[in-house]
Amino acid sequence: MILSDGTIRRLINEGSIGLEPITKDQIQPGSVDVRLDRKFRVFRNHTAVCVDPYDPPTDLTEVVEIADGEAFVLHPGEFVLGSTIEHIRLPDDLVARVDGKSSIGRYGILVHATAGFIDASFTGNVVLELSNVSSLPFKLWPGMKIGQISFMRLDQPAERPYGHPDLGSKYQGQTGPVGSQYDANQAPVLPEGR
Amino acid sequence: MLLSDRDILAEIDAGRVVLDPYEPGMLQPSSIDVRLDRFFRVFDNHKYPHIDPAQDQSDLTRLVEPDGDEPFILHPGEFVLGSTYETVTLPDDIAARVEGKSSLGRLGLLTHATAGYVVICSDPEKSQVNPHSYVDDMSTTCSEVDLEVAA
Repeated sequence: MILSDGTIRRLINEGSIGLEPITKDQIQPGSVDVRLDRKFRVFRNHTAVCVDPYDPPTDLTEVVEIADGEAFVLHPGEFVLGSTIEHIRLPDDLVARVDGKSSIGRYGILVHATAGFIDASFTGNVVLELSNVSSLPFKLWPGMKIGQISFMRLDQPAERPYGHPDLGSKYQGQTGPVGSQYDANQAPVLPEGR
Repeated sequence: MLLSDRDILAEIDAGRVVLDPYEPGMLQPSSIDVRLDRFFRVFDNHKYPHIDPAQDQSDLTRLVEPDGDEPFILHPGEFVLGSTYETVTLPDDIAARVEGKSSLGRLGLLTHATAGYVVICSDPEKSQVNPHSYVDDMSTTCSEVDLEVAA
């Protein structure tokens, strides 16, 4: 079940959903608009031959910060990470989804490559996987409404929510456009016969 | 409503949701991690002037298997099919979604182009399909999850 505006507002007021900073006009019928922060993580493609997620090139990415009054120009085919201005905190019985704003999508701007899913008890900024599938460069303005978060209830609280010591929750408490930490995973061992 | 880890585990223990092979470490707060199998279906674009879904273009794709421990290198803009190592069986009152891992999305890897929704399996007999069977079998089985992978 997806939470309605009234329930979202109540849970924010009660403090069980953390979402800040937030203004009233961000709450939509079944979601909350989120805004783009000024920091982006760009890929230094010229330094890398190939990306092996278990052994990524050193300094594959770097953070750039956009000054007041300036935009980040995302070129066709380009892929960068951004993050939301809003810091979110979920209780152990809610999960959330981030999706791009329709008005941005209509220009060919994708807001997440995959993994629009946010686990129960996650806390931090939401990282956006921004790409441009249009044929024209697109100006991303810090502070613009870029996406929306919707909330879904679990049938009961998770036993081991995100951040539980048994899980390798790599992005708990993340701030800004945190890059992939896939290399923290163990390399795969294929079972016998595979 | 989504299932929490406890309920996913209860469904697995009851044999209603089956992931085979399954390891307890795959269980996340409200999802199960799935792994990539070693078979990929690549597109032989040079064989056809265009893709026509109304035509039988059975030579359009070809199955490849990396040698030994070699990785499959996915180049920018490339699109291939893969599949999960796990065979998935669902009961008639649970549907599922497959999504990419965040750590791979942050590297620009898409795990499904669309259709992350896994159909409800109403015929348990069909759940015993060899997971090596691929898109050709999608009309007759819902026991496997095919992954579309693109950079």
